[in-house]
Amino acid sequence: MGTPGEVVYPELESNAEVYRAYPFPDSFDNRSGKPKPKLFYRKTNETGLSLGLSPAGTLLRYPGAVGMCRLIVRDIVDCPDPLHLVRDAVDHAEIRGVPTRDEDQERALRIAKYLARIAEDWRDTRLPS
Amino acid sequence: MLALNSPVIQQGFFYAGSGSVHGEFRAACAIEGGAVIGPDSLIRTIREIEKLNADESRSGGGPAVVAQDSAKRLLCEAQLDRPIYLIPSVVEASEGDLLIHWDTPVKSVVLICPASAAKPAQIYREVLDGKRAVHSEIMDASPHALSDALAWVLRAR
Repeated sequence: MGTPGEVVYPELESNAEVYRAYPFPDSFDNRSGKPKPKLFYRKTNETGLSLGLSPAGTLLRYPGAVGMCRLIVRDIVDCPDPLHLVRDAVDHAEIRGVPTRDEDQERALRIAKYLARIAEDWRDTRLPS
Repeated sequence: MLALNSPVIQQGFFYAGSGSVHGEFRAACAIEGGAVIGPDSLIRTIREIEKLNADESRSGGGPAVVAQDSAKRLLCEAQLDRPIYLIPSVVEASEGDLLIHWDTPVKSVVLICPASAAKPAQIYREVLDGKRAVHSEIMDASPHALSDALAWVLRAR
């Protein structure tokens, strides 16, 4: 339950798709066809890993994105390290429970590598190739 | 010389491809899952570090000089300990740090070279069951530890 006046969004379905924007061309590895682990390293100024709930919403929030990858909610929460998804807007959520590499290098790498493995590149013709 | 005594090769866990490009002989073997082994792994890794530096300097996201120097020194000294055959799956920079990933379908090794000389380089190792890590560990890096880790990641189990 949220505090009075706070908007509470419904939880995401386990089979829902979520999207993570590529901020730079090197966020994606052409050889493997997967995002690089660095896409999932949390920075100190972030509370979690930002996710769009639709490709259009992701592009709207990150207009400079050079691409994005798609993840399934079930796969994210299936991570051996406890992660949870917090939906904080109509078209946005965050993966919480990810330490920065300064906080816990081992766990941060383990989570980032797992998320990179379950992520699938998502292509859209509106994005520059 | 290819690592013919490598368990990966002995267990038939790879496919081979080689050829001649512009008169230059190239030989590389790709392990299932994308990892590649080859006799010129060290030089290819160093080229990747330098390419990353050239590519990312435009966006200000390249690895720090300290991180590059540390990685090159560790790789060159590890090569003296035991030849390196595995070519990295990913070479990436993050907040000035340089991270080199060697991945096979069942194991991964990451060399982490920090942007700050005050922090030690580290080696991360993990064992996979499908996409999930079932064991991981992290240790301070040394040429010998890196050499051991790269031999370990090539062992099938």
